Amino acid sequence: MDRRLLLFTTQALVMGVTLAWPATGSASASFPSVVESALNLTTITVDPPLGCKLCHTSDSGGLGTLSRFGTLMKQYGAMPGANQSVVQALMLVEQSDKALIDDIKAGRDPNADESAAPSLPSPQYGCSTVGRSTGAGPAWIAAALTALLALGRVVRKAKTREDSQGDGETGS
Amino acid sequence: MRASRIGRRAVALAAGVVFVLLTSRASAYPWMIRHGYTGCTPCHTDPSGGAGALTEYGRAQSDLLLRMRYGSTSEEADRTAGLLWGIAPLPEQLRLGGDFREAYFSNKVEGVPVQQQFLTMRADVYGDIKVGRFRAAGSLGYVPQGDLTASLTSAPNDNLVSREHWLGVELDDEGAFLVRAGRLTVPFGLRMIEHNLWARTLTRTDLDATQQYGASLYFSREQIRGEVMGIVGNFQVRPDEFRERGYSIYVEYAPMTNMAVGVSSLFTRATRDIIYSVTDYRYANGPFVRYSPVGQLVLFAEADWVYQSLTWNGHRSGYAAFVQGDYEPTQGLHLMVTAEAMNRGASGEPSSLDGWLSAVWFFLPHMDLRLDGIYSSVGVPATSASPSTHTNATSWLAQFHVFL
Repeated sequence: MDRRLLLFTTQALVMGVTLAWPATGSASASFPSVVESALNLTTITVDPPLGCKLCHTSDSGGLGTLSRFGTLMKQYGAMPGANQSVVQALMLVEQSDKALIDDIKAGRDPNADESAAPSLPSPQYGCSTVGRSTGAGPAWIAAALTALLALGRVVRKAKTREDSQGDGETGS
Repeated sequence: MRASRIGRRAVALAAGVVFVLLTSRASAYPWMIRHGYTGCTPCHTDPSGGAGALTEYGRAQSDLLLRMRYGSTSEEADRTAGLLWGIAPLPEQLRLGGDFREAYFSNKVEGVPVQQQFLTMRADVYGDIKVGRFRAAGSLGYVPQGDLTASLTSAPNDNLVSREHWLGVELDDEGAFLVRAGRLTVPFGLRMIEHNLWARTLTRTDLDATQQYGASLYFSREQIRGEVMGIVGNFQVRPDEFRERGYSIYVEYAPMTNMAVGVSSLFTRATRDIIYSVTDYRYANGPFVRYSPVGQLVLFAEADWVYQSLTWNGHRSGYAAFVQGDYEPTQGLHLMVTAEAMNRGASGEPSSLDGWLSAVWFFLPHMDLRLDGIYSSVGVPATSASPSTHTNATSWLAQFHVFL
């Protein structure tokens, strides 16, 4: 077989295997220990053993995956990487929606409880004609582009002037 | 110990989030400075490098300088350097490309069962067209998980993404001045392929999903180059209150062909921060350097101070820094050592440290294999019940990468 053809066939095969390689999700856990500690639980009662789905819609966590209870916790100040903020948020939820904390203690998922109705806006992703901004964005882009074009023109003029001076010096 | 248990879970989450975010990588090889390339424009259609298509010259250099040559001394680039290994020749004005990167990831946090999985890190196609002085560029890709802030579709998983799309005009014949507007990679710091370095994640300036809409001016004049961008927000996130507005700039000076030093600065404001959900004034400033003391060795370093003013939630003053050494014993094989330090600035947070040992083998045209071993010691802030602590983790990542 021609060497180039062999090389290309090998590359195509490797690329095909790569594209067909399956991707799977990740699983991790975070604040459940704080919840256990704050509510005096012996183990996490919702979505054991990881407990991520108490506040996230998947065990991967991350942006855009907050559950209804997670959004409520965020409304009460729970912040990434700040365990104490989770403790405080649980206390505030207990004051305002005690039934949700009772759900957790009883091993029921508070996300299934109708009283978990968060009002905090959460980010949405992707392109959409719904919920667009006021239109300030394109105006900002136009203004910035105009300013940059003007700046570029000044720079270009200066460069041209400098180049012509340089040519003059060389010529003399 | 409950504290260490919390720490382990926090590290497990951090690792999970990092590697969900790690669903893509672009090609950015700042170690090309060892060949005298202090700038990016000869090889990349993006003048600040990193993202997007290669120029015809860049494709030739990928064949001559990037991959292992197996004894070949030809000074002419092979025909396989072209798009799809040369079977699809294109006019010079149209530059197309694609990136596919798959990995196997293993993560062991002390006291927690090992986590192992396959990752689709990148599956993108992209293009750049130049008509006279006018330019248009864009990318389109598929992401099974994560990168939501670059999504065109709005599903929790399996989204189409466009990391960059912009229109521009070159202000001179050499392309040394480019004005462009659209969705752009934020011009800040070193554009490294290791997009999950703490310096990139803490400043939100990686090559994957943190691009912003706005307008920028790239400039290059003799030994100085840089880019300044006015940021108007990420219009792939809604509602508007989650969009950051401000500026970002880097300026780099190359006193020699084997050395470049620069500084970066960034400021943004969002009515609701996408992570913290409160009004956030975010600042990042810091220097960076690239230096090749001897032919086969390149050193990089960057240090950024990051300050966040979170309304009703106090202030956070933190930092992220790294040093990397890249040694190429023979063309096409890179051995790298990286050390990082970081503190996000949360109350009572101890600094985090990690170290990487990496090897990359550009074994065939358009293809490379990479292996990373990462040891992390992540600082866990104190709680009312436990003092601050560190949790240790060891990660392995094996990657296969092909570009079209």
